[in-house]
Amino acid sequence: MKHTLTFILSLLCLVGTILQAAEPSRTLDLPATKIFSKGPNVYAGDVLEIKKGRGSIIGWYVQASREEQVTVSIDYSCSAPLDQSYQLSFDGKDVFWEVPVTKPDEWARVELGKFRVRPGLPVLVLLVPPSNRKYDHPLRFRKLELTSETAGNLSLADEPKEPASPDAIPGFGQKLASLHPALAVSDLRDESLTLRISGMAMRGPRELIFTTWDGDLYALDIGAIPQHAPPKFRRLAQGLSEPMGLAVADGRIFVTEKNEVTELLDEDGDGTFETYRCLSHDWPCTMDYHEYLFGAVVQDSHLLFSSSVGMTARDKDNRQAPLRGSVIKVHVDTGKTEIVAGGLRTPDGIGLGPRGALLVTDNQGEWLPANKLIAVKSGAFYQFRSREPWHPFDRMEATPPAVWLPQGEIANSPTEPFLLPASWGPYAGQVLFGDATFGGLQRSFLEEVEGVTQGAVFPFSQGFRHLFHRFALTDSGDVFAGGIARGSDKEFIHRVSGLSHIRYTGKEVFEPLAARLRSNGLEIELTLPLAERSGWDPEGYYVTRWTYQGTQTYGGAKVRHRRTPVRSATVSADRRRVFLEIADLSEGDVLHVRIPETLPSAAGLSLWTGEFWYTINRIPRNHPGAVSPAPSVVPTTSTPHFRFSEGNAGRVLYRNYCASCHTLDGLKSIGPTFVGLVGSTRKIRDAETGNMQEILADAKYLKQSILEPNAQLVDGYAANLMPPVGASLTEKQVKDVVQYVTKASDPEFAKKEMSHRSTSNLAWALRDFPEVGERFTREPAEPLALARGTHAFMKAQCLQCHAVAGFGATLGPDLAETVKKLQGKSLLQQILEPSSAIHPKFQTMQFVLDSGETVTGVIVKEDADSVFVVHNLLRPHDVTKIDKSSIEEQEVSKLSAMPTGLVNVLNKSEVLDLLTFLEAGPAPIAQPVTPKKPK
Amino acid sequence: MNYPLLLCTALLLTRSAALIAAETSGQASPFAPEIVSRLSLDGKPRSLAIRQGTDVWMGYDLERATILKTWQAPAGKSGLIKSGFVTRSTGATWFEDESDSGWELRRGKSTIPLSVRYVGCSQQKDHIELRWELRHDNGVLKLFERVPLTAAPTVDRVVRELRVVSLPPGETLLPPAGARQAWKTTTDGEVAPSITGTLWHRLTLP
Repeated sequence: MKHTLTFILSLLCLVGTILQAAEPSRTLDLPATKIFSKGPNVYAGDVLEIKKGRGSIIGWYVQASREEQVTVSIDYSCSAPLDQSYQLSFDGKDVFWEVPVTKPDEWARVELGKFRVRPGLPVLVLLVPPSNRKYDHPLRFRKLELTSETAGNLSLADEPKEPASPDAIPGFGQKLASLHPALAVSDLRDESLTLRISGMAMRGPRELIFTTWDGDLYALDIGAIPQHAPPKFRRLAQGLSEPMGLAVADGRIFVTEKNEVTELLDEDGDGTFETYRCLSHDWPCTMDYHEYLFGAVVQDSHLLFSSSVGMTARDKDNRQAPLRGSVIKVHVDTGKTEIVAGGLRTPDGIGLGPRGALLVTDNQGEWLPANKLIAVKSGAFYQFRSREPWHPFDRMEATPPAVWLPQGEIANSPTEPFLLPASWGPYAGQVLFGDATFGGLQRSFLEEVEGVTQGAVFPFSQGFRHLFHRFALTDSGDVFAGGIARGSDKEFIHRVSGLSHIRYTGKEVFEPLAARLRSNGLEIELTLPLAERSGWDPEGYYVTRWTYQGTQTYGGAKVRHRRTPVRSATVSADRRRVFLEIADLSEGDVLHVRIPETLPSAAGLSLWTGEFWYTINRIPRNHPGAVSPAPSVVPTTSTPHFRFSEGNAGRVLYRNYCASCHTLDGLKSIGPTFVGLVGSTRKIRDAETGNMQEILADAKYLKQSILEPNAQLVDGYAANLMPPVGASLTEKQVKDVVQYVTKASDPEFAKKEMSHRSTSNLAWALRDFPEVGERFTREPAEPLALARGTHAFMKAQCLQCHAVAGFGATLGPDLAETVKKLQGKSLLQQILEPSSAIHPKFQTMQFVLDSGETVTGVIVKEDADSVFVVHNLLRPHDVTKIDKSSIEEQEVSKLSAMPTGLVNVLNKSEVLDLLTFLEAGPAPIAQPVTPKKPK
Repeated sequence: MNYPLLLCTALLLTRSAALIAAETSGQASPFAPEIVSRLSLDGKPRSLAIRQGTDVWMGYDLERATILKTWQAPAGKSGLIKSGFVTRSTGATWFEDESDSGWELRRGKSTIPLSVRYVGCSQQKDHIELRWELRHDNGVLKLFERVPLTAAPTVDRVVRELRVVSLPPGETLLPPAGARQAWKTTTDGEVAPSITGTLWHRLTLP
């Protein structure tokens, strides 16, 4: 009996325990053991011993099932005072926590704040130590504790799975490699002069004036630039102090110098500027090298410019001189000075945008998880914080930029934005800006949605000799672009300082032109109409999205980075617009849209670029995009729109983040080459002791160098030379980079990778080849040229359609036969302009259907009821079946089935090699060439 | 031989050559860095240095509207060492104001501190002129300082000149204490312990 009672009591206790354990709790622990990255800190059991601020990501994703208030508390121990506060970020809302000191080994629990939690996507919670590196941040951390109002509301969530990266080529997931086809550029550098151009303006229609970092003001008569000799620069003034901006208004010249804004005056009228009138210096400054005044714009009798923050203090105590990081406005007559906006970091560019908007670019870094294009609002705060004394505009909720410019993908150090005039054809009204690291020109389309500025950024052009900081536009719309190469004149990524003249030629280029947000998705505008029935497949668009969280550490990873499905794609009647229906748009998100490179224009042009990034600040209410069902006859495809290859992510990351400083050709650049790196012995300097030691460069070393560049500095390289790029990369991305660099250490692999980079992407025209006459090749053709020509033949995908002497496909004419009739200029014209003459056997047919649709293509098969047509010969599997009963009209098309622009992947010498190869007739392909390299 | 024509041609060529040289070398432009440096001096971000004669330098604190340092360059060398975009003085120091003292206005028995606003500089044929505004409760005084570019008489070692505009009668201007004692101030040959009127005051370093 007694035993039975004991048994029953035990059973009841057990049940009670089980019930108690299963009962939902109102608290959720966020333990130190489950953070994203401990960085340089170490664990002692379940406690994270935080020693350094940088390198760790103390964060969690939390899932809530209902919206309500949550209280966040911390379990910690801190035996010494800290010099700065910790930051707690809860779903984008920040609080700062001044850490109370505890007795040694005594644990304390402190409430950090109350927040609203929301259901839906996981909520990111971050605990961010101060970012300055010189101090330790001795905090022992066990967990955060979240207390909700409702039991069971909260749970720890997994980090959203990062989407895979489709294979990338320049303009499609990878930085462009060459000049935009509609641009012509000439280099106006005088080799004997180092022109580190820092400010530019037009003084009258013919006179370009510019400042140099070294303190000179030059003039150039743009109507008298010699064709074959360096331009004649005339020095107007000297002795300026690090000028970084120049403006001309009503004949008056204004310069933003290091610590003041100045008007240059010629009071005695002798033609020289003998008076430097200080308009204003009403803001504090220090000796920090990085405290610049950037840009100069005159608007409504005010000179507008921006000020950057200091950089040396961030290694010490993070203090800044008051008012640094501002947009400043000075009256050009009275010198009255006002602060317009605050919270900027390195705003190396200011300009006027559409509708007179004041635009500023800013660089990724502390508090900036990515670069920014900002449409300045008076009184706004753009989030860069230092510490007390706070900027007068500092507030917890920052104003977002008009467009986020993701680091390494579309920008690194964006510079002056400028508005394109009417002479720039379809691009008029859009904004271009340069980049002091990424190079080239990027293009932005801005729109107003319910009073808020937002928009998209597109890759536009690379292929310039210089990095551009400043621009000046002539009356005819030509652009003069000048820049500073960092460090000594030629040190930085093999670019030089100098001046370029850029002209828009008006050539038609097929690319995404603009993107406009609708209540239910995004409308893409293209420069040219799409080919008929193209663009309707929603699978043909790869859209990912994420948001950003600014923290006091450098940069920041994408938050909730995920693929978003495109529900439908609707092509407008004029085929210039595609509306992508996207569910659950969210304010604060960045949408990255990729279009496959195979999407053709109506004229058969290939896309120049196929990606852009759109920033959603405001979702328009009651402004939906029209969704229509796809036409009945759309191409069926057996080939995927995007491919995903092993190793591609690492290659793209290398090219976007590392290639500026680390080569694959074995030569030292800003940093060491990656060739031979892994497996070598490196002589490094210990960050703590300064002692030298030798270590093996292995995957662990690479990872640490990415996450903490200063931790193991190789002898001969300065601290802080490498930015902490690891802060922008996810764990997987770091792994991808390490794997790629490990492979690239093999010279053979590196050589192969280098050969993949020589894409040209110029849109060739017959006029580009004046040297080609009736016949191009002299007899006999050089074997090496024939070998190169064979390679070009393959590279331009000729063999997919054409046979040569019976070898290859037969969708197009046998080229061995063609060259009997066409050689030299005629052959080249046939390649560049396929529709100029069409072989009767290979004419395309145009069918007008009873639905009103038109289908064009080559008939590849026909039976009693149907014809089967291939629209794009490069995609022979994309066959359209047409019922014969639906055909209203049928005629021979004037358009060739051969796409135009096939040789645009070749550079000029490759095009000429291809011509040499084709003119040689059947011999090379029948008897493969084995060239001997000349000694 | 048409000698006058040859002479004219030679003169024209010489003049053209001189103009081209001036355009490219910029020696004729004001603010040549060998004479005036507008980069920071000795860790003072808003400062300026001017050379008098061949080897005497004067450094100015533009935010305090006062001379900071006077020194003689080492023999045969520049008195400024430039590193990047900052400069450091080098040579024998003749005067240095390490205080943080400012300008004052004496009105009767009281002295009023003045706030300073730098308004620019100008290079004329034989001197550099610096300009400030000194603000007080009910007005603005305009302060000018001239530094002759030619060497001072040996007895004076170094010369600068000061003038103030819109100073009401009966009020005097007191230079920053750190510079007040060391410099001998005269007007029309008479010693003047403070700045009055609108005349130029000559300051030397005995």
